[in-house]
Amino acid sequence: MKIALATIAALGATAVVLPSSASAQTWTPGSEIVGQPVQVVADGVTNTVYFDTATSQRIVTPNNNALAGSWAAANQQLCMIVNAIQECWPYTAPFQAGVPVTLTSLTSSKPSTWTALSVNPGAPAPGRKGERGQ
Amino acid sequence: MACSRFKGFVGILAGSALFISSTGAVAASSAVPVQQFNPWAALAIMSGTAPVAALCNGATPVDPSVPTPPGVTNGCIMPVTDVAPVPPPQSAGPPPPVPVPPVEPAGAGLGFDPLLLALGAVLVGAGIFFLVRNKNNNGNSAA
Repeated sequence: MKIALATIAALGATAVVLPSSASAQTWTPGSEIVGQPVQVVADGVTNTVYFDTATSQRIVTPNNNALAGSWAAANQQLCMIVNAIQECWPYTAPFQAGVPVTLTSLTSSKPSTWTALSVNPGAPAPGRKGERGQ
Repeated sequence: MACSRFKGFVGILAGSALFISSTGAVAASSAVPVQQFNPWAALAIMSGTAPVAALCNGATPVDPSVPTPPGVTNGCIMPVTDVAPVPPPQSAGPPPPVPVPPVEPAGAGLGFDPLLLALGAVLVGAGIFFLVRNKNNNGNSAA
């Protein structure tokens, strides 16, 4: 009897844990913002970053001038490279449309507010709060 | 006699040369082209490696865990600002007035440097003086 109860409890726990861990594993960093615009406010200046492809991005200035570069999301960091200059921010959870998050640059220690104007469907909700949850 | 004429000619020639050279110099210096900066060129310069420390408030890379790709320097990208404000698009209406170049005073209309003008006058006067004196000397010696 005890063994049967323990088995049922273990199966139940597994059923609860597996979906959440499975969804967490399905998130590929950066996948929710590929092809989507993200508004970045730093030093009072608003830039819109278009992550056009999985590796290329454009930074659009307030006067609609574009500065092309590349980007990558790895090691829980989102890094952008423009004109051989790289700046990285912590990236531990997917962006959510319309939800501003404050990121502190790992390179310059400068805070900035990132707001994904839209995200790709199917991106999982952030499972844990890191710096972005502040 | 021939020598005195030659001296006078040299004096007049020197005076004339000063006039001509001063006029040419002023005319050459007045045509200074107006430099126009491409704002995007300036932006590219501002995004270069050198002023990164200034843009990042002197911050140094603090993330040694992630290796920097070759040829890439850790620095500051955001925010990206416009160097020069873009003028608003021209709407229907009268064109903006064209700036009128400043009118030079009448005295400086020929582009003469007053100092060179005075120097030239002195040299011309000296040339005439020597010319007249040599003529007189030649006239006295002939008598």
